[in-house]
Amino acid sequence: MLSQRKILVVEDNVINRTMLCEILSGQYQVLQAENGQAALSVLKENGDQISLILLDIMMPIMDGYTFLSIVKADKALSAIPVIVTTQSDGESDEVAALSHGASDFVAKPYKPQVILHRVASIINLRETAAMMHQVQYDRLTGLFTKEFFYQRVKEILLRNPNRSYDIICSNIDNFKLINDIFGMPAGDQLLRIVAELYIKKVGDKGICGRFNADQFICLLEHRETYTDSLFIQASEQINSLSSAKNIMMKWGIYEIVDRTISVEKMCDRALLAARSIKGQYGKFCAAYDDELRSKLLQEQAITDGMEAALKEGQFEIYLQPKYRIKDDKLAGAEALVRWNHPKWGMQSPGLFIPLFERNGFITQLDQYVWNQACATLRDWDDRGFDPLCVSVNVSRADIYNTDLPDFLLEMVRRHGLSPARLHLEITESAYTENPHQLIETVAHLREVGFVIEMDDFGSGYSSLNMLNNLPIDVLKLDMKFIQSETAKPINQGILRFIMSLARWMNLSVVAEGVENRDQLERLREIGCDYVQGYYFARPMPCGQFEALLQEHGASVQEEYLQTEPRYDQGAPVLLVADEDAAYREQVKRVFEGRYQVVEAPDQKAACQCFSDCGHRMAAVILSMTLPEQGSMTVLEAMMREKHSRHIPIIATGIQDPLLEEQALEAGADDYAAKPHHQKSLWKRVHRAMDLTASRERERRLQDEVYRDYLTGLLNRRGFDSVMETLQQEHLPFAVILFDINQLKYINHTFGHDQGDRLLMQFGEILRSSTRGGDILARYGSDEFVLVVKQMRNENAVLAKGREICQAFLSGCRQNAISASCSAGIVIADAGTAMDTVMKRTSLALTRAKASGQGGCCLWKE
Amino acid sequence: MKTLKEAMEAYGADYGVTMARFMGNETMYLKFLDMLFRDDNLQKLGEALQKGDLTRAFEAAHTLKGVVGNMGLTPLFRAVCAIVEPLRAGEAREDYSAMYQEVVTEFEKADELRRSLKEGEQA
Repeated sequence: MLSQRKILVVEDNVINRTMLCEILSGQYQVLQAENGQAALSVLKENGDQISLILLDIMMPIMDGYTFLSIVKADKALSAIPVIVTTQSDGESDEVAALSHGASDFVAKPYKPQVILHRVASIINLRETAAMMHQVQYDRLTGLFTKEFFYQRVKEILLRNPNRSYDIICSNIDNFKLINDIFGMPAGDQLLRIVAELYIKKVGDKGICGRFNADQFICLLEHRETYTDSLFIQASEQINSLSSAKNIMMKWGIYEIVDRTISVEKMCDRALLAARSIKGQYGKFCAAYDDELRSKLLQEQAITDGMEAALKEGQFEIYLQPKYRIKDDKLAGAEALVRWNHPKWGMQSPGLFIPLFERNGFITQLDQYVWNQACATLRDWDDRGFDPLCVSVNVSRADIYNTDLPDFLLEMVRRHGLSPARLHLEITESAYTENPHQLIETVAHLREVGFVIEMDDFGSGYSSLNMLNNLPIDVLKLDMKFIQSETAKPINQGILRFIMSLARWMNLSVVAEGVENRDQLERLREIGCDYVQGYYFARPMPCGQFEALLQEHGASVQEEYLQTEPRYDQGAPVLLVADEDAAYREQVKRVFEGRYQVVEAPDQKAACQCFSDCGHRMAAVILSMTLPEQGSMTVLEAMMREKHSRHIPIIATGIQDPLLEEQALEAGADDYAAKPHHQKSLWKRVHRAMDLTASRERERRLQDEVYRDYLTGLLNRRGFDSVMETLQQEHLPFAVILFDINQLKYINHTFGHDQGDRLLMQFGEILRSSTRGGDILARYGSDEFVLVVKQMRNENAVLAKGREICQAFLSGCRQNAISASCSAGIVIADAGTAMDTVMKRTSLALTRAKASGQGGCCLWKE
Repeated sequence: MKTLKEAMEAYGADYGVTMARFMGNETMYLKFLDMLFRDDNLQKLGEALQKGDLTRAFEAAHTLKGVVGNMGLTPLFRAVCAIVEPLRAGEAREDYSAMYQEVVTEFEKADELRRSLKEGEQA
């Protein structure tokens, strides 16, 4: 049983009060108060739990009328029903009580059955009303709920058969994101703002409701035209009121032309119209019209036919060749899907893939494509063709829906293929709902040997952060991105930056959608590895691809066939430098397969190996007893060179604490005393490699955090951190703060591309006009800072500042851009806090600006 | 020993209606009857009338009316009703003390009822 309902009895006379309590206590929990004042304090404590109040009118201290007025004026309490107890001696009390807001009255002498009955029925009435209210009104916004909205629309349409109506609804495109970023309270606030707008705009011309989350709807009297500006205005109003800006509202309109369809369907049509422009920039509203109708019908037809199509083999695999730029050789293929429909003919994936992604069928189709790709590879292998790799798409749903790694492993095994033959293209997005799961799954896939390609990089919402977190092998650049990028001058642009980023992260790069020679040359020049696009070949049926393969062969098999696959490198090298040939042989037997094991019997051979394949060196197993003290020479040489400093080294030798200490101090990561089991060596090598890799990751992350992505200079955080490390010997130093004067104007007038170009240009000037030891940073959006260490000569600093400003000015003039920069300069001594230095610098900058653009000013007291 | 029913009917109260109010629980009725004789409204009524404070007198009489009504003490209830109405109207009358006396008399009769029940209990 639910807990008993609570009733408050307010009555001054103890006999009457006790009697009422006796009557009620069988069915209710009774609270008592002996006057209005006491009753108010009981309500303060238990207000929301009290189902009913029984109130006597004549009481000392605070009488019943006063109590009633207070309770009815209080929003939190006014809904509690009150029954007044009166004497049966005249109507006046009863009328007065009812007019003060009492729900009913009971007369003395008490009739227990009557009291119980009235109490029960009034409680019931009130609870039903509260429930109805909850069912009818959305608790957050006070608008009608979905069900009640439907019901009201039905009534209105029935009552007004001759009047025309429209249904208008809206969605917030990025509502989930707003909830995520700003939190639920902000999301709720936004919903209330939208509701208020609806109420205001609709007024008494219609009714409004909220369906779910961010879906609002209203019924309005029909109007002939709806203009974009109407909706833009509404969106702007919402944006101006909400704490989250950049809210994207999409509106859908359905004119009720057919009253025979259900109201639910009418609302659906408005919602479908709104959904049809989801994610489309610059589209604000859409009406449900014939075009949308036929599109939806077509989608319905696709949905109806998809299962059968899969069974009947209507989906066909097409392969688009990938070429290696270095030698223009065929290097692989991407498997794409086409739908060869018996009636409609060949269908482009753009037509059905997005729909399949929405309705979940994509998972089945993807699995079909993977299987077909594997079968094709198996067939080629059996016929002795070059063992190419094929990349396939992995949709987001695949990652969340299935036990993907097991499924894929089982599949390649069934076809007798190594996982490395199947490259998995994964589309990344910063708006990934569950990035953790994505990262985990992808890491697992890569661990078991699949090659991971990040698809569509550079389009949509790619994020550098994701790039850092997702363990991938290949970066696929989106064609649209390349098309606009190659149009820009050669030494500007982000493409080069992405290439260097990829190099630095050890990723190879595939450019897709390459359509002309210029693009190819540009990609070749910046060092892109692979290309794919119409310039080379369109996607083609497997048979056609096979002919191509037979004719030209593929050139890259050895790269692809590694157990530990990498595009751009051979197998990782494990160097075993040991005077004992038998020991070397042992190591070779254990590590071969996963590594290319290179043997060196002495110091000379070891050093030769570094120059041959130093960049592929995964680890070194170094005997501490090489002939002629060679071991220490090798260690010292490795520590000296930047590229070999981080290679894990396992030193080996006899059990000797002194030798062990010597090795570790010279830079070895571990010491394995001989004799040892090879298994323990295997473990030690991998532990050392893991450690190195995690240190490396940390360093990269740190670097990314401290760099300005646009100019490659330090960012503000990096600058602060570097300044903290300045030593006494660097003092005094000069700080020059530059400000590009018209950046905002340029961004606004010519677009951010132009502004960004200007910033990069300034970064370049700064780099070329300074020395290696100087500190350079992008300090703010249009501010740069240069720190010259050990500098006390004011004139020299001023000259440097002017030189840079001048160089920027003339660069801008050449390009007919009217931009200039100003500089504020401070020479900082020991004992001046960095804050103060920067404050003075910016004061000097203000003075420089005031004295005319393009000027420099040295700070003086 | 008289039963409660016999005693009440001898006094002039409606046993059936009254006991329904107490859910047939005689012990509870007796408890309330005791409480009635500890109630100070009769005293308040007398004092107020002596001072000529008709408002206070009405309040006391009104409460008393409710209580004795609930107790089903019909003769006493009638006597209280007789004084409540002119007091409610605020009429200045000479016969309040006579009416009050009537109430006191009836009150005593009711007390006799109570005592007779107590004796019965003791016997």
